[in-house]
Amino acid sequence: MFWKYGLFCSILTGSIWGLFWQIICTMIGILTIGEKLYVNVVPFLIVGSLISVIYVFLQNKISIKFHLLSIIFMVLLIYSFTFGDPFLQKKTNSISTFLLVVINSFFTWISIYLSLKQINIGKLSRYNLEKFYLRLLWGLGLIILILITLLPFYIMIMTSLKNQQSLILNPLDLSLNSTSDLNVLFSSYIELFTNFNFHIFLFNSFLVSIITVFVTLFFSIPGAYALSRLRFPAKEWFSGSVILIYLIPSIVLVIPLYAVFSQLGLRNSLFGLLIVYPATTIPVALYMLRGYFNSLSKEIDDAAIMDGLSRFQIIIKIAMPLSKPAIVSVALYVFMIAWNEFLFAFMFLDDTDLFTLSRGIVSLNSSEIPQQHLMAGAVIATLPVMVIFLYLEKFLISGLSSGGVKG
Amino acid sequence: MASIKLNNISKWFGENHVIKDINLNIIDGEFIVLVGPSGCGKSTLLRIISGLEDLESGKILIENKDVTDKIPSDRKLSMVFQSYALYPHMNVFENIGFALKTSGINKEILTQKVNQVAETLKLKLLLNRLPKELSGGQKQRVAIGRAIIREPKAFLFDEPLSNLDASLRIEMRLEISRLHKKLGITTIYVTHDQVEAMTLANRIVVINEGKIIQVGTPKELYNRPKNLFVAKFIGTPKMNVLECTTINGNVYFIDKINKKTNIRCNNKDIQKIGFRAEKIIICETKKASFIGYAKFIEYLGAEQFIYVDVGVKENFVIVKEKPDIKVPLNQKLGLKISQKDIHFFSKNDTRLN
Repeated sequence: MFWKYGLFCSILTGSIWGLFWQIICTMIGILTIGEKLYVNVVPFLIVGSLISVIYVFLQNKISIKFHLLSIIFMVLLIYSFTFGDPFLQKKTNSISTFLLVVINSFFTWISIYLSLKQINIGKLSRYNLEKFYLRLLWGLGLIILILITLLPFYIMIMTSLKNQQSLILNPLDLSLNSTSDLNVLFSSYIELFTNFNFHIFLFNSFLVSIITVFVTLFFSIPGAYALSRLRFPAKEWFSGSVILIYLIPSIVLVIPLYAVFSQLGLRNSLFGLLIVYPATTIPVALYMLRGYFNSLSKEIDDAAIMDGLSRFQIIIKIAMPLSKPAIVSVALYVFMIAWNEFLFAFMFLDDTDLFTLSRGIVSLNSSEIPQQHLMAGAVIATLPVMVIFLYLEKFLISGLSSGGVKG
Repeated sequence: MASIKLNNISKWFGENHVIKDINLNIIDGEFIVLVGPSGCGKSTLLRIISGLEDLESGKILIENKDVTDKIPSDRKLSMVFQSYALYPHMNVFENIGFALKTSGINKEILTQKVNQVAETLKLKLLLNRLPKELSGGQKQRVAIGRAIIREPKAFLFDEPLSNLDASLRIEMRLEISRLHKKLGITTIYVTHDQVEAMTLANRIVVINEGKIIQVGTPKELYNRPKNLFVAKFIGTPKMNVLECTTINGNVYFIDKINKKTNIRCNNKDIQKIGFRAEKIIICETKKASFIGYAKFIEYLGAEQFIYVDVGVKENFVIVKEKPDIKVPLNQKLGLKISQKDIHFFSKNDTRLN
């Protein structure tokens, strides 16, 4: 079978990475340089395959010098195969194009080197073959995933930093403005906070989210503990049906709730939201925490009872410290739900003073307000959650309960 | 230190009657071992005594005071669990001192007491460690320390050694025994391991299917088992049990080799006879009580176990012999046993002699 041979593997790797990085570099070029670049398939395929075949033949002589030489060689190859015009710009070469080609060669070479490590030309053993294909797919998957997640962010942030004129001139040009004046660069943000009440929205969102987190935890920790440890009638039925609320789309709930809340005078208030939000988050919190409490040893609870603790003391002194990772992740989850919640905020809130961020951003969505303001609003809404998530990540990973029970 | 009385204790788990009308008197300072196969209800009984499980009917008396309706901490008992159940987020010092701390004791006295306990259990150098940084044996010692510090009326042990490896188990067994001698506190100890039961107990309580089968000293249980269950449960290797009949007071095995044995029994209800492996002596076929063919030999260094086919279907007689005796395989072998070492059992497995 031809696909079991190292030569084929190297040609495959070279052509895939050559093409892949060229597409990405073209994209990067378009987004950062702001010129029209085109994907040039055939030459890059050929150069990639050539280089990877060379690598496979010469891999025993690898040194840093060899790496450098092959990258330089690849740049030369690209220029010669494309007749000096790698991205079909039909004009004399600029430094930026040259830089792109260098970046392209560098990443292509590194990718080829990483996926073809220890692969020889002849027929490959089963182990090496599997290793090779896994490495190739893993690398491709990883880079595609990174791109998919980072690209929208990049576009969002860059658009928010542009001004109206340059956006209309070339919507695809997402390079940074050459001005060094911060007031000009962040004009959209300044505008949002001074003229569009975003500081109030931000405060409202924080208030609602944090109170939702505390209310949810206040009810779900004892609730989950009871479901996990105590015996009471209809327990199984109850713990099963709690999650049922998620079978009902919130759009179905919002209409009757709108009517009821209007009559109770809860509609145009943050307090109304603070009733709805915990009601939607408590079931999941209950479910997640119950699962975690179940994984904790029941004998520890017994020991605590023998040591004279009441059930509430056990929750506070034993169960909560032990389930810190679970509580943190539940808190984070609830915070994100409340922070991002839109439907209820949209239906319930009328006063600008009460808007949460998601509701506030939507109020920007009219033809009079420029696109970069919207993007700046989105950045303001995203950043806090990202920061909190990155900060709390280490808590999520740490497994505190390990080692306390058994040998 | 206290006596504990259990009066007609019954417990149901839904439809399952797990503890059936148990009565037990535990004397002050006694080391009682509850033993039985897994699922027999011994752990449940212990949890009932501790108060962690409530009961449907019956009474528990500690020092002749009814504690049936009291919460666990008011019974002043302390318990050591199979999984140690140390608090993972507290270090050794806090683990040992936790019960006293919750009862609101003065800090200096607490420190003093914890240090004293740590001294007894050789935990002095480990006081600042977290449970996950301890070995299995050390964890178990901390768990015991946590039990000791409260100066309880009785200790309850729930299979405390079953998570330890073999050599450590023997070491800890000795330590528990020593501790009991030193402190003299009433101890109730649950295990499924009959060796542990034999070595530790003043009295053993054998439980099966929620009922007490026999209560007695290890010697009594070994030499005069009340029924076949106890006979088979206590002792390694298991007691040899063979089906038999009697004609005119002579015992016959239901087999193809031994038409007749020189064992005599006048009780006509006899259906099974039992004898311990170490009571059988290999001898000439003429003097033998019965004969058989050696099929397998397990050499253990200090002794050897000989598996003898006496013709009873799928039932070898195990003979314990000195290691230097050479036994030929697949040849006729005379086995001798004296009348006083034989246990006779009736149709419903109760002891006859």
